[in-house]
Amino acid sequence: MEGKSNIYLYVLKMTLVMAAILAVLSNSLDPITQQNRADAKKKAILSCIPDDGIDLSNTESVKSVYDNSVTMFAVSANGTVYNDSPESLEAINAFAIDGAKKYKTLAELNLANEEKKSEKNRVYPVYKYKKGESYTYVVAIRGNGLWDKIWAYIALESDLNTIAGVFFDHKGETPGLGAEIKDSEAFKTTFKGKKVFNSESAVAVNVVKKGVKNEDYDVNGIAGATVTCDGVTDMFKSGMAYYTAYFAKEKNS
Amino acid sequence: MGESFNIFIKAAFIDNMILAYFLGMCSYLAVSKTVKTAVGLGLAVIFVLGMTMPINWAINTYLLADGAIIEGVNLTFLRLILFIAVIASMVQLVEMVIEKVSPALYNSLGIFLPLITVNCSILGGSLFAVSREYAFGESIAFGLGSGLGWFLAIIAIAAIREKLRTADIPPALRGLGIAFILTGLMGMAFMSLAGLNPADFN
Amino acid sequence: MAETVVAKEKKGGLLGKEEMKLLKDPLHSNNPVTIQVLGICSALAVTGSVYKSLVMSIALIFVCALSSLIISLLRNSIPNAIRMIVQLLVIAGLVQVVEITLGAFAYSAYEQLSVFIGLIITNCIVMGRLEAFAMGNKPWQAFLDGVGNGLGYGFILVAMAIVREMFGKGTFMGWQIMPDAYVLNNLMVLPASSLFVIGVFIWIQRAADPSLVDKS
Repeated sequence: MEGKSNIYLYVLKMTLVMAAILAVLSNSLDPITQQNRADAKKKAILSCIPDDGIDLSNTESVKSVYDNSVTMFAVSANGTVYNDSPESLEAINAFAIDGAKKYKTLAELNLANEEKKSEKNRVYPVYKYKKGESYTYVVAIRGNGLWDKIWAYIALESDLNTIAGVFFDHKGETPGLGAEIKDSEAFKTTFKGKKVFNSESAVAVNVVKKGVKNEDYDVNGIAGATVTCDGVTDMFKSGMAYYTAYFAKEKNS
Repeated sequence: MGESFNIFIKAAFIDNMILAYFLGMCSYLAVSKTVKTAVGLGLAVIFVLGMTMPINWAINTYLLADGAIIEGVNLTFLRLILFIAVIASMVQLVEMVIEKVSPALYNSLGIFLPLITVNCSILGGSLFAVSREYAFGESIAFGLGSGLGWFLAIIAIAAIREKLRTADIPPALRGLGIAFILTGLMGMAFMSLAGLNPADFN
Repeated sequence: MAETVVAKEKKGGLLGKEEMKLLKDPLHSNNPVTIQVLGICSALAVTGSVYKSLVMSIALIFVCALSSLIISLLRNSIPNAIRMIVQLLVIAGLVQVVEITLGAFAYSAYEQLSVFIGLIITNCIVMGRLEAFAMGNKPWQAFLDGVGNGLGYGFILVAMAIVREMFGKGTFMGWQIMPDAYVLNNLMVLPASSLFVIGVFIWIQRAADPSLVDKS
């Protein structure tokens, strides 16, 4: 059937034209998308910091505040600090085995990728925000919600224990229930002033169901979202444990 | 192995394609008038999902991902086209098989067999597997589980609608309106399964 | 005098009677969602917020109108055996364009809609209009038909979203419009509620226009 080669040729021509158009579009617009992603991350980090002077309403101010006041570095569970230099980046990328991706810049560091490495090879981000003479430290933690992953940025005061602010996000929690950890300003505000570690240096932050018993550590949970809230408590326990060595070092310095 | 089984159970009951995500509604509503056609379509969907999921996973991992073929080359902008091409071919295959094996079923399904290609749950399943970064075995389990979930949902609503034929429903609600409200109620019933973690039973 | 008036209308022109029908019918009597029963999946999933519904509707109007236009322009040269494949290719390409563009210019919508942008490919409205109309009609008419159906879809989507967002979150496009004393109706936030809302919409539409009632 002479029609058959005609058909294949037609489909081939169409596919080539489309692939060409898409390639051009993708190459020109993807960098903007990457930039948007990075800006969204900066906004999330800054949103935990309780500074009324920070204007988060537009990308320009988010970028300028971040670039001027935030220094980022990475720490490992044993307290080693990796700053934003090519040598440090090389050292971190040396751990990228088992399917984990390598980073081109330190800012690309993300916990989802770190979780692919074995525990001793992981590094965790710290974002140090400077205002005048005081510092606020923002750390990143990750855990499991009801349906899928949840993660958070937690801002700590210079005592590295009192929570200054939080930002939660999730892959697919139920809207109106688990998703409230991200959407409810009220829930996030209740974390302010709570302490992460107790006097024995164990993680004591606790999202409770029936009522706050210990003002220092307990946070009231969200009605109907018990599993997600338990996930938040567990996320604090496991996530903060990776930073204890660094915190100890920083407090003594 | 255990993780794949958990994903299978979750995809079938808790993350049900129709009742939790509402994917695959069009054919679900159109073919659920009798249980017989529902069963036929449901089985075809299980097969297509189970087959296309791993193939699309392989394409995404080995062809499209960042640096998969050549270092630094990212072909993800071709993802949608390639995925839908795989699905269309698989549906063509299923059509030929059903036509040979059961001409009666082929006739009763009619236009809805080729329409599996545009069934949101098939493409949606592949896209979920990519966004959740499943491994190969996990994506097969996810495909079969989602198919099973879709199958169960369409059989349930078909059975209910068969019974409803003799019920007294307000004229303006008859047919489509009541089908939607029923599905909504079923969706709410399935929400009670949320929080069940199959891993806890291992 | 009367003859020339009638002849002019029959010719159609850019926005003649036939053309306006293409734009108006899908809003009510031939609504793609409530009458033709197409495009349900996304109608249920994205109607939690008006913002998401608006972006989704605009994306669909874009894809539906342009794919109808392109397919209509190509309709005489497409080999019949691969009709569906060509249609799918065009749709998939257009949707990929939408995804890339949203990522660059509307990142927040891109993040919230995620998988559902890709699912526009499988939106039955787009395929349905290509098969039913674009394959057999002239480009401008096909374009208008695509726009009309997209508008019909958008109308229902935004209406559902307004109801769900107002009662479920007390807001409209993020601004609070319900008084503080209003206790938020959590059912409206859950995905299952969109099925109830659309069922009621259909009820209202058919009660208002009995010609649309299901006679089977």
